[in-house]
Amino acid sequence: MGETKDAAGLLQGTLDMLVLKSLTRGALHGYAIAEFIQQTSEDVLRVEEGALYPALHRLELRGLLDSEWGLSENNRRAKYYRLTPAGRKQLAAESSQWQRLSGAVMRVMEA
Amino acid sequence: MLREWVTALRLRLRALVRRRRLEQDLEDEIAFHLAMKTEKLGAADLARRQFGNATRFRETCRELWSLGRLEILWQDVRYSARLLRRSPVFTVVAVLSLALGIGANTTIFSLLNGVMLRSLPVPNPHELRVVNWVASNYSVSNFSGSTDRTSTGQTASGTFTYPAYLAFRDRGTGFSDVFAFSHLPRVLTLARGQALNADGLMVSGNFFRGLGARALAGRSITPDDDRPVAAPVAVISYGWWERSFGLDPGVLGQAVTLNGFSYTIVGVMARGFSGPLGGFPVDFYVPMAAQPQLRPDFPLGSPEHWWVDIMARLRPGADERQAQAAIEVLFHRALGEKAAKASIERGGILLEDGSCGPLMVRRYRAKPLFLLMGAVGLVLLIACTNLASLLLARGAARQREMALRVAIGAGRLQLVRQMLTESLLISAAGGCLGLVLAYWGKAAVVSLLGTDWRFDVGMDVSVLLFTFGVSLLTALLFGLAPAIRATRVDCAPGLKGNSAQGAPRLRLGKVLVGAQVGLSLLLLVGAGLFARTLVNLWRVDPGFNAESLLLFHLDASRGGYEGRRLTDYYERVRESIAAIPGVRAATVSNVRLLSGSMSSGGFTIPGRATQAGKRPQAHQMRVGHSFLATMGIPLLLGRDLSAADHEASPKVVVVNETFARSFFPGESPVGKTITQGKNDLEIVGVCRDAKYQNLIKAAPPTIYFPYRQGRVGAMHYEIRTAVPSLAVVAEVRRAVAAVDRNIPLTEVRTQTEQIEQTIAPQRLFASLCGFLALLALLLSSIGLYGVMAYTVARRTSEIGIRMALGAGGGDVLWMVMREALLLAAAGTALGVPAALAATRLVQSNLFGIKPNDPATIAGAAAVLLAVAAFAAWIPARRAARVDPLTALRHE
Repeated sequence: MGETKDAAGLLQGTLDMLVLKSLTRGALHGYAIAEFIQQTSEDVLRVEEGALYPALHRLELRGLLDSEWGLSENNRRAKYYRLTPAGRKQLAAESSQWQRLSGAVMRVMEA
Repeated sequence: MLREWVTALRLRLRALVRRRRLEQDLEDEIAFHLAMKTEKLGAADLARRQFGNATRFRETCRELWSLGRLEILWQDVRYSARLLRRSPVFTVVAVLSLALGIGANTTIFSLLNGVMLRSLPVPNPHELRVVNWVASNYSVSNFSGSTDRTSTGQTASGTFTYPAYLAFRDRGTGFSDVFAFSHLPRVLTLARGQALNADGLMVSGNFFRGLGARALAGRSITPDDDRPVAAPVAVISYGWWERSFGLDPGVLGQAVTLNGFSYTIVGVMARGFSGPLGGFPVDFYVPMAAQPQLRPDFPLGSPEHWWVDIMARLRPGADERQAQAAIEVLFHRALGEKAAKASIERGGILLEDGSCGPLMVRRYRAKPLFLLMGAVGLVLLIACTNLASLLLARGAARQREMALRVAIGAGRLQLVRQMLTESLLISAAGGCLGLVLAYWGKAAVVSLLGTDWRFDVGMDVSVLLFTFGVSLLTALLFGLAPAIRATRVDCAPGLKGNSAQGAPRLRLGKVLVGAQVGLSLLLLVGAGLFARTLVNLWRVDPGFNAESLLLFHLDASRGGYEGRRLTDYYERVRESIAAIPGVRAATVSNVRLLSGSMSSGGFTIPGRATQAGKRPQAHQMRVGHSFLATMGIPLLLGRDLSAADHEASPKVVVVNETFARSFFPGESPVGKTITQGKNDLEIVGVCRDAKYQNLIKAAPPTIYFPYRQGRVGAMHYEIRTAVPSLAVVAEVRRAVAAVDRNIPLTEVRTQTEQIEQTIAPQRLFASLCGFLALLALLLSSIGLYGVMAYTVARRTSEIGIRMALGAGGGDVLWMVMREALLLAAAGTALGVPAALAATRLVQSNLFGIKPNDPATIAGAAAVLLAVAAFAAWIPARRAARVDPLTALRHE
């Protein structure tokens, strides 16, 4: 198992960005979002799973996400989140910001 | 950004409404998550551990859904309301005392607002200007208007001659309109068969256009109406339409009789518009062309009669200074004409902001209101200090609660906020109740002000804002210090203390009570001074016998009588009244004594040089046969005026003592001659001084003329009766009607009623100040009682020990009383110099008493100390009855 980090370790804005990113390919429920982040980061980023829910609700309140109840792959009732147009715009802004920032940090570290 | 806010708000509101549903959703989500995880890991506890602290996440979500501060505020309000409900006596006392304070302030402010602050309800009122002239010295011949002193000691006035107005109107620059008006107070009107006095305004044809005031129904007066040949028209106010015409839409085209002449009503003004004179609402408007009928003594064309007020509307972008200079040139030109017979030294024109109408009139009206505003402000201040001290005591008693709340994690700010919410709740309730009280109080104050005070100003937005602001301010004033004090708790000892025992001493509370006592002294002294002024006024000798004297007003000059026929008519009426059984004597005069009106004029004494513009002046009165004898003014030298002094006989006058002393010192004026106009008048008698205009002013030098030897207009009758005066009214009416039934009797009242009316302002001050002082006494005694009761409760065990050690009930009683009395005495000591300073402001409203009258101040202090002693006696007695055993066991 790689280095673990909880939600407190992850900056709040970063978690929001990851959540938005994970929804670009379609609606997901909370559990799937957690799994997605963990797997795509190859277990480097491990969200304290419960912390995901306040983040989801906050994003919904900001109008960046929409939600509806549906049936999961194994036929359980689950709440699915999807990006709103505003959420998509926000993600674009945040990821370009992130790229600039991480690029800059890289350049400093490699100097 | 905005859209984001809207979405967030919408979602939050939805969250608020569907809180339970959201909670359920979150639970389902978490359950689903855990189920999936358990499936994956095969162990439920592992899944839960990886999920983290679910309760904390739930809390975070709830905070997200909440409306944030608003919701916390709502919680605070609910909590405070619960606390206040739990101590109903405190709440009722607090709310009532604030309601009285705020209500009194709102009442006076709403009157003051109507007089001083409210803009005229017309478009762009800021463009309006009032035209005033100023001069360091002036002498004009026939002046009917008001003058005022400017801050530089000059005289200012807004009253001009009509020809001067015409010059300003036609040749002034920079104005879109220059318009004129003249007040017609108490015109006898006949509307739908009902006779009553109404207040009118004579206006130039462009008045309504210049002001920008529109009629609600029909039309307003136009320049076409203001021509001598035009049909006589009148426009009435909404108020009069309501009072006399029952809002009948058919009123247009109907006739109304003004001063005996018929006018056609062509329009009704809008509801909020009551003319340009704040505090003097106008009932009807007629064009200036109505002058010969309604103001016959001030001819339109005369350059020596000063009686019209002038306002103007500046053209947008016009240079105000240039406009003023242009008017000034025209003013000097008008004065320069020989016919003007006026001299004005260093005169000039001053344009004044006209958005609320002429300031001079309003200031006159507002004077007593400012005084009252000060008094009610004091009461509110007392109510605030009272509440603050009550809250302090309450806060001290709540030490344990505060300590407990701090111990379980409440922040200081949170506690202060909570306590301030309580204060705000009290002040909001007080403010609402105060508005209701003000609504009634206004009618009461206006009726106390006397019949010539009418206001038709409602509660407008600025009054509501005022009340709201005052409520908010009072909440901070009385709530902040106690809140900060009460929350300064140390939680360990605060929790340990078992009762009020560990509570702090109330040093701030005592300071507040002292301040309250001091402020109450101010009001008590004021009430005392006004009450004694009133008594002095009642006691003052008017110089004539005011008892059993019936007065009424008769104007036959409007009824077609003129010259000799007019005086004969008055004489016939006088004779038939004198013949009524129960009537001892009857006479007439052109001015009614002690009614606030007066007439004065200049004269010269042959053989004496007079400086230009400094002719001797005296009050004058044109009177009928045996006026002095009928009124009971004793004759000192010479003879009374009699029936023998008529049109054809030599012109004679009687003068009073002050006249004799001022102009003929050391010699008898009888047989001397004075000159007025072209007439030589022989002084045939000297009488005792009698008060003229009102009771306050000393008797001025006065000349009594036989009325048949001068110009005669309307007359007042004075009837000395042997029976109660009002008993002969019916007979008098019959007698007047028998001579000519078309001439109505008006202003029928007794001389004592007449005097009462002129001292209405003093009566108002006395009764209102008395009421406010009582209120202040009540509030301060509540405050003192509260603080002493608290002190006794705090010291119960100490008192128990003292008594166990042998102190008697009397010792304890005295111990508590001494503390209270010292407090009251300290407050009184502070109040005395404040009273000495403050009462000087009311000096001009006092009569026969100095503002620093020692007896009044001593009396007020004695009353205050007595009341304080009573308020302290209740807790002191309780202290004296402490049972040492119970008190100590309590420990």
